[in-house]
Amino acid sequence: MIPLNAFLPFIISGIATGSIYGLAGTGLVLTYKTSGIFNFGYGAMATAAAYLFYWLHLDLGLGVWPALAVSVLVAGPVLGLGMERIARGLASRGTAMKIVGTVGMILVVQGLATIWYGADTIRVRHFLPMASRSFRVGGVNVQYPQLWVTLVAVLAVALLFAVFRWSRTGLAMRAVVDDPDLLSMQATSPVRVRRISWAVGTTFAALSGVLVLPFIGLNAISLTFLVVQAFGAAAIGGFSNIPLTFAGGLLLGVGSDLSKKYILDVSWLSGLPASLPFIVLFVVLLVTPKNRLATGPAAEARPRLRYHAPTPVRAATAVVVLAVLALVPLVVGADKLGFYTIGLTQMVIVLALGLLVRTSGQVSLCQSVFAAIGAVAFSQFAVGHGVPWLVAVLLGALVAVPVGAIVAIPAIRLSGLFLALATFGFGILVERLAYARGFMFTVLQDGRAMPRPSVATGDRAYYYVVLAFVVVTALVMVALHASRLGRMLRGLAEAPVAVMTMGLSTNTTRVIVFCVSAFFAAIGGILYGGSVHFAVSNDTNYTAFYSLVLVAVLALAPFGEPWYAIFIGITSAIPAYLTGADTTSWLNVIFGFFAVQIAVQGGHPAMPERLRAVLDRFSRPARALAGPALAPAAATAAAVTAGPVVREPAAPAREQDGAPRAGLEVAGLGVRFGGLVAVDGLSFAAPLGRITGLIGPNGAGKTTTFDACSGLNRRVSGRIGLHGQDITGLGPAARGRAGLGRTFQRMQLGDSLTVADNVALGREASLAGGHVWAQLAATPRQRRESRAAALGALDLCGIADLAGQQAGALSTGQRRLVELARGLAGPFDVLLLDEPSSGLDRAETAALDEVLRRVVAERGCGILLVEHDMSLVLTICEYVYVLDFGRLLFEGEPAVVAASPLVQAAYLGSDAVVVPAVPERENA
Amino acid sequence: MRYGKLGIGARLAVVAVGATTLLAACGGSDDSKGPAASETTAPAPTGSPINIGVIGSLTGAQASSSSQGATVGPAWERYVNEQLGGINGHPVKILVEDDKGDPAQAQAAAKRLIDDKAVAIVVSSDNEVSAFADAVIAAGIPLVSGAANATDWYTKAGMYPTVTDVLSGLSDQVFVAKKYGKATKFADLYCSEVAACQQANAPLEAAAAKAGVGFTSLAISSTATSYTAECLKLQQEKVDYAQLNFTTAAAAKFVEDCQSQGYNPTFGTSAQAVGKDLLGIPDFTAFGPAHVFPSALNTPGATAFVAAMKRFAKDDNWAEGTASYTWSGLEAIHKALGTPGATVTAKDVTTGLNTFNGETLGGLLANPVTFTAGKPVSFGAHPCAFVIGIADGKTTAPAGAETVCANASS
Repeated sequence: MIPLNAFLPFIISGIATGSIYGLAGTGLVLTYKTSGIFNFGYGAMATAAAYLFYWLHLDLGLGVWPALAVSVLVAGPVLGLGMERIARGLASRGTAMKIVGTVGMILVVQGLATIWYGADTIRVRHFLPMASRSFRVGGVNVQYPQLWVTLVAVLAVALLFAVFRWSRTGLAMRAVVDDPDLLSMQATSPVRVRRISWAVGTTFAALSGVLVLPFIGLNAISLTFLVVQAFGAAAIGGFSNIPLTFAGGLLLGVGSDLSKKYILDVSWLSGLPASLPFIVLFVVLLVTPKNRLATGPAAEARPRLRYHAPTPVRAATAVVVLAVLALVPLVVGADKLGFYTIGLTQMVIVLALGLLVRTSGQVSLCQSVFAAIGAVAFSQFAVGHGVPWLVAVLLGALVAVPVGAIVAIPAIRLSGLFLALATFGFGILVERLAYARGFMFTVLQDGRAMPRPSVATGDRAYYYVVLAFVVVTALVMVALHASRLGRMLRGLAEAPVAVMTMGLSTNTTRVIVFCVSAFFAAIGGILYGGSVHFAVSNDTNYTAFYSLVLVAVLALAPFGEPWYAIFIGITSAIPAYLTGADTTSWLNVIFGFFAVQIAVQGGHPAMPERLRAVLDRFSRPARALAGPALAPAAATAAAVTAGPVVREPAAPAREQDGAPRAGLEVAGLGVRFGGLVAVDGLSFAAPLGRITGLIGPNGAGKTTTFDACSGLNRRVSGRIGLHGQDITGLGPAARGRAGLGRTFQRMQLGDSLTVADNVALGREASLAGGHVWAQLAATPRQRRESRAAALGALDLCGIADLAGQQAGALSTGQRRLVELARGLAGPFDVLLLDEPSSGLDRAETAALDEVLRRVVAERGCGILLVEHDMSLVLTICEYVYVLDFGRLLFEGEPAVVAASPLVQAAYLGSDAVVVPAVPERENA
Repeated sequence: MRYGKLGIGARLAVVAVGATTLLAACGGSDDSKGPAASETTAPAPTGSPINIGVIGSLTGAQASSSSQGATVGPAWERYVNEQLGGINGHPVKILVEDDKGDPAQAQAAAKRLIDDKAVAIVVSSDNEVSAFADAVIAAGIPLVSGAANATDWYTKAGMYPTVTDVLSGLSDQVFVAKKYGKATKFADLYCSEVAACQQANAPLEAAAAKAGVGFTSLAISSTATSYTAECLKLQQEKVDYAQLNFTTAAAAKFVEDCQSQGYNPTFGTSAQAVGKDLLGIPDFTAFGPAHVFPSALNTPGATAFVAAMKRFAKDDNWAEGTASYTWSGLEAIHKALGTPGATVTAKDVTTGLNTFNGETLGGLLANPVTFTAGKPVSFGAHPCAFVIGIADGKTTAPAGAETVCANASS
């Protein structure tokens, strides 16, 4: 028997569905490439078109071709234009909002579809011509619909590719991502181009939805998730390459069906074909080199300041909320109490999710998986092994922790969108592969028995037990937020690269937060199971789909932490009063709709100023972080001679003993990006006690050099030394802890945090370091140390009066100073400053000049300064290196460098140059 | 979302019951043999009302096969009150509750029934029964089955199943396959998304071994886009009888995919309703066991059911899904109450149920049931079933009105 014949049937059936995946994936990649928004709701578009087609053709009796025309060629572009409006609103928002905005659409479509046609799958017969006929190929009957589908998909994608590659519009589409302003200068409206892209992309979605309809039937969730398998195709195409995406789709389709050949004999792998696209997605995201995962535009609107009311207010609110919750069982009817209890259990899960999403900015779309795992493990402990209830709860939750760690792995190398994708794929994977296995929910319809504690089997008593868990969880969350971990997470959320270079091992932090979140989510899942007495695999609260609902609800919930959790407590009780069959579906629609609204807005409106002022009156006189205020930023010479207030030194002062001590030493540094050589054979030294300059035209490789020195780019050749030690093999966090600090050309600040919080991070990140316990909590002594360091740094930079202000609200110049202060607060004795005077006016630059000199003089730091402001360089630097095209062009004392014709030619390209007069240097 | 969560027992019953539509349609003459009482009207009963609860998944996933309780319950109420004159002068009041396929809603519904002082509760579809069973039993109210797929029915005191448990009833699938389908190799095609679907494998394999029939099993995904692979595999393994233990929409697609590959064995129907989906397939032959009466059978009980439905039912879905189960459960309560005194309590129902000894409720049940206080339920020596079949787009009754019993010597 020829092997090919054995495979042929699987290949053929796989090609048909694979081409649909490829078609869907192509449309998705198109919209992503041109708008920078990854449309999680892509499957919802396909579902909407499929339902429309079903209604037109099978309910109203419209002919196939008119129905197709309307649901694909009319609905597609219309939906696309709507999406473009939404995408425009989302473009300037943070990643979390972008994801929420598109996830919301899935909820809306799923809810409406279920209300319209119910939750059961409805069979749809093939509607393309010659539906029931087939022809023979190599011993296998190929049905004509399979052929048509493949042809249509191939044609559509080929057409798109041709347009994209070779037409003006296609060129404009590609350009609109990179530089929309430039495009508009060419008399092509970026908005119009984006509209075309979205219309085309969504039409592809609509087409895939309608084509796939006879293959899987009319069902909102499976239709949505089937097209989501297009994500796997898109991943194979690197989220940017259209032909590769289509090929990826074919690969997935054929692969899934081929795998059936083998797994048909292995029943425990029966979920494999359906999970294959998600396995591929997960793996591709894990192994793709980071730089190949195209990231969207970085320009984001400023997030709002996190406001915390003063402690007395929060305490009072807690008492009120607790009292209300405690009164619930006494007030509501016995038949409604169960819903409130469930609401409490979901509050626990939402608090855990909020830690991930709101505090640390990691969007996780697999929270319900932890709930399920916890429930199953608990049942096995409590029922299978007779473990006492409370112990079983804790043990069950602990079982979810390693799973949380596994999910953290993609978090380590991915962020934002790709992390959300990976967690989403993971959730579906676990649901399809594991939920149906006996070890999870057993093979009985009853699933896992979920006993209540023997002292609280009644509904009221159990309500109070769950309430106790909610209180404990909330207290833990509040404590975490106030702890070092909370501060590290906030830093991680908004300035992950910066905190890494300041000494925090962000990998550890990510794993910690996922594990904590998984633990509490599992507890919520266990308590929920106890509330309904049993846990089964298709309980709504354990499905992968529910993770999306959780994220939407979290985004919708008003108030800060931990009060936002109350929202889901309230919404869980609604079905108790609105007992219509469609209540839950309508709730999903509403959640989804408002989630999109909130996302486009960028979050909830901030608390009104007046209310804030009222609440602030209750605060006890805060221990001021800023000490006696010094002269403001526009410092005069007096500031230099006045001398600072005596305080603890931020770092052990290193005395200069004549010769400058070894600071940063770089030998033979080489950096390549693919075929491009960015830096070649660069050697320089930035010793302690000296300000060294690194200058060169744009594109010379200065920031690349910085990235290599601070460890952000590890693919380098050469040797990097700090204090005489070789640090080439160390990661960025380790280098930070060794004493190497830096600022960034594109500022990396926590924009929603205060200036004081930002600056304190500089110190605390390195104290947190890489050990789990150090990341969790700070000793009182360390707290004092951080505060003193922050205080000193703020004083030093003359911005102590800004301490309580939101970093994102400041001017560029002030933000530069904050970044500098952050660097000064840390235990760094070699500072890499990347264009610190960019955006500063003359007076601010002069102040900066003084600050830098003081730093070197008082602390004996070494500074390596990248600057474009020549006058600053020439006055402040003792030694200057000149870089051009990645090579060292010249080095020497400033005056010599300024006078060098080589340098002038490199900058100006000609001989004639006006050399700025070198101002007299003040004696330090 | 439920991926065909119907237990096997329910599915079998659904098939059988679904077949009744067509049996009724084809064998319409059966009606005229019914007793004239179907048209009588009795004087209105005046005693204190007897509240009986009916709870099921009227909405939500799989509702199309679980919602019949809402049709049968109220129709039975009218049947008892208007045609029979109540139960010893007491009118019955049916309280229908929807669990919406959600455990929390199920708990709330059960609480309402307890508050309304129901003397018994019929669980027409038992997807969520584990959520409220303990509470109802603690309130002293007996739970009587419609469909009984949860194992709790056979282990918890206070629960009264009227059909055999899923696993022991499975041997009938093989028996029917061998006797009517002439099967030499039996394939259990079970849904892959829900763990509970797998529990049939071991018992079916054992039954096949006992019957001397070859056995294989295959997990089927209801969301798969094509079943070519599965069909070819079954063909390669020379399966001549394929039992469809998964959702109907997928089952119909499965059959057509196999036929398009030139593979058309005899099928075992356990699909939810022998409705247009399966009947519309050309050249389709199927058999299957049913543990509750197909309504067109010529037994007094079944005939009374059909007449009552035609006369009193508001919807016309009483020939499908859990309709027959619900009716059987209600009739069990009816029988248990016997001739009650002035007040009727839940205890009376329980006591009455515990007198059941080899009870078939006038031919409604395929297996005679014995309830004994403090002992597990018993169904007689051999699992028995009615038999339904599909051929040439019509349903048939290969065994007539008799039940067939696997492992019986006859």
